[in-house]
Amino acid sequence: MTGNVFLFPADQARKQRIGGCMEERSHCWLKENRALWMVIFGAIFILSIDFWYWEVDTLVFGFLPIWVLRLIILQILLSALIYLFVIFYWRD
Amino acid sequence: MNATILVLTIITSYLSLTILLGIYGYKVSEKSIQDYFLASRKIGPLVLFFTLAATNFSAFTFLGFAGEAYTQGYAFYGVMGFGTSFTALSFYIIGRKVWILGKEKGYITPPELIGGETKSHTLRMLYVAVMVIFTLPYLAVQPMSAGFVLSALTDGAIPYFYGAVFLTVFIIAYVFLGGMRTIAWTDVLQGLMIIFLLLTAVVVLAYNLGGLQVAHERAMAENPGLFVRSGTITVKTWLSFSVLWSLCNPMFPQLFQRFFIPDSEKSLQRASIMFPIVTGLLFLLPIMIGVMGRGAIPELSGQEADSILPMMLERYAPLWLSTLIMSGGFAAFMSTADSQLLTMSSMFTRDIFHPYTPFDSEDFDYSIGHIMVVLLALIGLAIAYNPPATIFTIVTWAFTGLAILYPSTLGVLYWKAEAKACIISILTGLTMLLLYQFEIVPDFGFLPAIPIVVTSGIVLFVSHHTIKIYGEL
Repeated sequence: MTGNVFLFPADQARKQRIGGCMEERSHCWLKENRALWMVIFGAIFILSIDFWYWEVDTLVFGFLPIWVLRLIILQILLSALIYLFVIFYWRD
Repeated sequence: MNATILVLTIITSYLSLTILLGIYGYKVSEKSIQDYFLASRKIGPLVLFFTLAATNFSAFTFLGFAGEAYTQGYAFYGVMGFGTSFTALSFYIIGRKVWILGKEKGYITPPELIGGETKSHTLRMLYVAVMVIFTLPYLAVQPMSAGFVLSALTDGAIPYFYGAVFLTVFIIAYVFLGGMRTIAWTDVLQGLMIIFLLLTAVVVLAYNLGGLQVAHERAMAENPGLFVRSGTITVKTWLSFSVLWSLCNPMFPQLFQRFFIPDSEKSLQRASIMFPIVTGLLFLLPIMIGVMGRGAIPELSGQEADSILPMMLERYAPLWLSTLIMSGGFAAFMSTADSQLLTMSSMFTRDIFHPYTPFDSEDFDYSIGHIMVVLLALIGLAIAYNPPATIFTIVTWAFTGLAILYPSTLGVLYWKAEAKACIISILTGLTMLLLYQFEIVPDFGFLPAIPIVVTSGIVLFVSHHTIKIYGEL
């Protein structure tokens, strides 16, 4: 017997709408939410065009411009976000 | 040992490894075009990642980055790094759909997919034309770079063109023997070589210059502008490059075709996760070498700056080590050239010859594919023999030219865009490219790629809906 029998009609409709997200309610907001992922990746892209930080010339470790370090961190963050994207949105 | 013999011994040892992989690839391969061009769509996650990454690391990554950093400093890292890392999202946006359609319908080349989905032979041919025109000169750049490097390493004992021929012969041999499977395996070898040898170069050069900090202080004393962006690059240019790399990288036919080869969607996902970190960190290495080079050898100007890496190695590392590191440069040239060669061969075979041959024979396609690998390599070599001045212009414009295909590709994959709308969009983009080439239209401070791709996208949208509403034009 499938779980659908035990759902209220509204929940059944919701489950159909969001692609079977009921089993893991806590992560529903990350699943099937294309707009959210577009906003997340769009924000990362905008953070990489840091025009508000353009004039900064501080060096870290005595040789690396701080905005280069920032870009490296953003790229590591991008990898981490793609990892989450794969888990929650890009399923086989 | 004589310097020329030492250089040839090290380079030939590495190249022999690629031939061994070619022979092994030939032994385990099946005699089919699916296997020759796509390794039977059975490439796992690690090999897939390396073949996607190494294909993206070209002669320009190894020599050009250091040269540009010598002139522009760390600003060039921002121009190249993040946009390329962002390409990883295209593995989902473009790659996933391409992988699914390729598996379902047996597509082998990018134009075959586009033509098949839109049922338009004209659009298919337009994709072939754009991809070949903008890739062929880029193919010639790889043996050219190899020729220059070999000539420099041996103080001219090996002339430029002999070096180019030397590299091309090895590439033809292993691509001819093993096709995509061997290329993917050599990409693992070449990718690892590029990463470890560039890292070794940074460590050795920094050590011999008194440490990273001292080497950078010398560069700072020479030109403080190497460490800041204001005055070197504008926000609009930075933004333009980030967008350009994100759009044009997946449109390179050799990268596009790689979306057909994963054994599963998981492989594509894992490659997508690894791509930003590895490219992001790898791109930093030649940039650091270029900046340190400015402090150590400050008097270079113009195109001389592109030789900063071999010059630094010649001055601060023993010959055997500098040759070993420059064999990483060979790996970068080869990992791009072999993929371009096979992909172009597949397009000539499947998109140009196959539709016009009177018989539908896989054996015929298989033979033509092999012949085209040799022919195209020779054409690349012929261009490298006496490169016309325009080759560099075409290469410069190749990225924008290929980015023009992005809106249409998205349209076909997601919205079943009308073939005629795609054709109008691509022709509009190409016309704008010509107008920019002759500086007839203003660029508003952006790279031409931005207004061109935006306009192509708008034209696609408008013409698609016009055709839908009013029927055939």
